[in-house]
Amino acid sequence: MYVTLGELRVPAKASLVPLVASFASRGAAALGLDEKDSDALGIAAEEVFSHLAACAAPGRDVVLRLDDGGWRAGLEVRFAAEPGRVDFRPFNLTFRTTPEEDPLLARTALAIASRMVDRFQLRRQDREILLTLTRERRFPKGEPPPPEPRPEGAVSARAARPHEIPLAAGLAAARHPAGQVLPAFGSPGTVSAMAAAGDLDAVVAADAAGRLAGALFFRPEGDRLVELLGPFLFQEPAVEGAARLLVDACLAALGRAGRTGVLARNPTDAIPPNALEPLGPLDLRGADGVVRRVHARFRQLDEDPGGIAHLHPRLEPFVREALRRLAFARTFRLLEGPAVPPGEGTAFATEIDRRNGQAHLKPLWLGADARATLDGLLAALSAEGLANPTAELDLGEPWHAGFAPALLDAGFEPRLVVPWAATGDVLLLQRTTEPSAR
Amino acid sequence: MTAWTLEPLVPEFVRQFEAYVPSRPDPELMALYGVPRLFRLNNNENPLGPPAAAQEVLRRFPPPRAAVYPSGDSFYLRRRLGAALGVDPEQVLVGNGANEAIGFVIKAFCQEGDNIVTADRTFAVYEWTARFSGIDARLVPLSDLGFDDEGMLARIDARTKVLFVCNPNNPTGTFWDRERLRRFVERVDGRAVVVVDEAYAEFVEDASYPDGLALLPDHPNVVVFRTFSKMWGLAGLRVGYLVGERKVVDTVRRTCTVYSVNGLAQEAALAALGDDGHVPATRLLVREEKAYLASELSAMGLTVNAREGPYVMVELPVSDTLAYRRLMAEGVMVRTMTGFRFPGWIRVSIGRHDAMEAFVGALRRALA
Repeated sequence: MYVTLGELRVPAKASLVPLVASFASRGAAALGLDEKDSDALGIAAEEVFSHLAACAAPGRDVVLRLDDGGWRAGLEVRFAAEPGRVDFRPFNLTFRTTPEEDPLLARTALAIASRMVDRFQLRRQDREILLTLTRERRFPKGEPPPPEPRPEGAVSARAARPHEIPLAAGLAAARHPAGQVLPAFGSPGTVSAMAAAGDLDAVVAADAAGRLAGALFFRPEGDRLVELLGPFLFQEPAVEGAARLLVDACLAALGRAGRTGVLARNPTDAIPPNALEPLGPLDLRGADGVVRRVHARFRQLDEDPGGIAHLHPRLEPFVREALRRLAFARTFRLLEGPAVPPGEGTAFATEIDRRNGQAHLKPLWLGADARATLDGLLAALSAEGLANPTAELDLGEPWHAGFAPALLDAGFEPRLVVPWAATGDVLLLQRTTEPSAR
Repeated sequence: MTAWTLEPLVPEFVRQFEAYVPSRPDPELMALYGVPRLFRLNNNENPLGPPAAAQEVLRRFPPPRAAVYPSGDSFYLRRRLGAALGVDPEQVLVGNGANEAIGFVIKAFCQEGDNIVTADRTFAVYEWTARFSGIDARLVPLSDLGFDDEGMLARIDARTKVLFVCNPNNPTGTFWDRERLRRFVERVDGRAVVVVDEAYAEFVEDASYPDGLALLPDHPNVVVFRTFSKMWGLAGLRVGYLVGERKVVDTVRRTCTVYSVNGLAQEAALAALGDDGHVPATRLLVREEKAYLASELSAMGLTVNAREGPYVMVELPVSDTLAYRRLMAEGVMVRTMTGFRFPGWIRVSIGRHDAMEAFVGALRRALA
């Protein structure tokens, strides 16, 4: 459950920067962030708003909303940005503003802002730009829990009780590699706060006395999907059938949740065969800093209504095969005519998850300078230690198809298709710069 | 242009709720999946269609009549139903399908802070309608695939207003017998309205199956739902009704939408009731094809749950939603059951023999 602490609607003017910075930092402090974290959010807000006032949306009405997510404070910055009437280039993370009076003051405000927060998200939604800056509360790290006693008698799966969620997270973190658990799993306070905020939930397999055989965690992934983490089994050998019970209980819990599918980026080996369908490989960095090749899986929760996949011809064979394997019926529309419109103006929305060292690119606007813009972004991400960036193309958005040549030429490879992850299916591409520990 | 925020205008319980997306029309689906025909085995429709007399009404309906409003309260249909059921026509309320009647009842009896109680794995519309109305839906796990009377009674509190019992249950086909239903209603003891949804009543041949209407004289808090969508083959026209004690129905009537049942639907339903041969013919088809399905599916090593109702449940070794997509590519549409909280199961409606054969063949290939 998120609570909006406050909302500020102001025109993007340099004179209002102090007001915005104060709104963010004082609001964050009121939400329980310590001074350092509150100040960081304030600085990020200052950078973003200055940037909007200077070049990205000067004079436009901007709505800033501070949300209390319990374990994190989120500042959402939203303003109208009609395609064709707005130059999207300033939304590139690498966009540099250079004051006429002093070229030495050139700065990349969005990149600075992104460094001040744990999660930086920029996306275009209909006719708006949404920027979300998230700073997490710091909870103490917990001691690994002692091994869980083996269940006795029959084991059944059920929704985890509030006290069981941090316990199960700790047990999972103690027995599984960092790539399969969240960094937060080592912190009972964070896990409890995430669960209280509705950002993490779990089912457990337990006996009548509450001894845990295992757990399966899940959390919202975008507007349509749910991410699964696990299943984690707590004894050696594992309680027979516990993994299947966990998956079934989880799917039953999500059956009427209004979500389209579940995605497991890096399920454990305990996942029952045929429970989820394989999607493809990704190279992800775990909380321990090690990059691992993982094999994502997916399962639809509802009956597929069919859809349209807009494609660049260079991606057609991959996407067709990926969707055929999953038995998804799609009407394919191939990009016709020149892929790139004349004129510059390419912009990518960059999402950075510093906790996990991941960077993700989404199309924002396409111009003739797509490749050059992308190269600049990739260099900047690499300089920040963000290896193996991913990019996505929403196959439900016709204009995304035009980004394919630039991405492919820059070394991105198509990896997998996640059905219904956005307007339509999402093609995930990755550029591997750092080899994985397999 | 100023950024506009929709969220403050939307109640929290609506924000939490996702819209139901119905399947596309057959021509769209056939084009999408590249199949020349589609067997729809997902909605438990009557494969024989409406009774002959109702079909005749549909054929002869004078087009100019479409310009005239129907009876706002289904006057003649209620009178006919009253006579057939042995109740005062004022005890009958007709809706645009039984789904609408569910909404009428919840609106009539529930306000913010109230709750309804039903099973976790049953017809979803009780739960949905409550939730998108801002009413808490308390879900009691099924016990041995049947409604758990003790569990439901235990969940009743001072804010419980309606108990929904699907009898027989869709999708498991289990039912409470006469004695169990009566005992349950007695123990509720008037604390809440008990809705007995008998959408599939006409398919049940077991002598112990109760007629919920028999409870009305002693238990005025009972409301019975019936529909013309299943046995009577009029799903496309949307006609359902509820029957209860006069005071209860008068209260529900305050919240109902008049004129929601169209004139053609009223006349077809009226005609359907006069056809004595339709029910036995449908029962025979369902009985034979259900036995065929159970036998074929069991031979494939699959677990089958084939109890009451024109449908069976089948447990699959793969995800139900994957099987759905593979079956669609074979021109067969079934109901996935993750949404019923039975992941890995599908529900198959009983159809004519060619449809059943098509399904069995398609499933064999889908699981190969």
